[in-house]
Amino acid sequence: MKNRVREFRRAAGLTQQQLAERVRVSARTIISIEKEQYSPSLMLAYRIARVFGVSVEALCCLAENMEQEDARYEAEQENL
Amino acid sequence: MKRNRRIYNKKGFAAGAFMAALGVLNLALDLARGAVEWSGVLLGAALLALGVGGMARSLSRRLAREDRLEQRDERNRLVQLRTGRAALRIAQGVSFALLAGALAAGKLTGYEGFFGIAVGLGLSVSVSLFGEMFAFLYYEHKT
Repeated sequence: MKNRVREFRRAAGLTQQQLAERVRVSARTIISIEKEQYSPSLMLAYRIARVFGVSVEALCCLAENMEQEDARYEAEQENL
Repeated sequence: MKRNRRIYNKKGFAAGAFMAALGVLNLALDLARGAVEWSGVLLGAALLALGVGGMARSLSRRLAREDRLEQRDERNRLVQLRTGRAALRIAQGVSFALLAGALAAGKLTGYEGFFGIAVGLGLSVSVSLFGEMFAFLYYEHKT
């Protein structure tokens, strides 16, 4: 799932390790989230969003991700 | 001045102590029997090193916190779940293939030992399938 964690982290001048310590997860989890290999839980997304002072919606690009998910769903329905 | 050492991770300390004890026991048994082999010494030394390392980590506040964080980390939990799931699938598949192989071998050769192996493997496959079914029912109800 697309997200803006790396963008906000760099703007805040934090390292991945520093962000990980702030939100109480391993640095590997932050790396996976930034690579968009892992989608954080709602609580972790909220913790990260609070560190950067942004909304979860903005952090996780929820509107954009929902549009993509809907498009995939529609395509799957058409192929059935 | 005497300073008390605190154990910050009791589970980690117990696991480390158990591994260290196993390592020492392994080395002591090899020495007592007079049959010291490199593989046994390596295994004993590895267990001892891992055990002492685990005990040392549990005595350090910083390292114990790191371990706790790794245990609680949500991505690590997901990785563990997926790993366990994949391991179960592989074990079930291999057991089922061996079961079929044992039955076929028994049929072709007429040797009854193969049927005994098939019964053991069948039991193992049944236990894993029923275990999975009951676990599913439990978590379906709980979640």
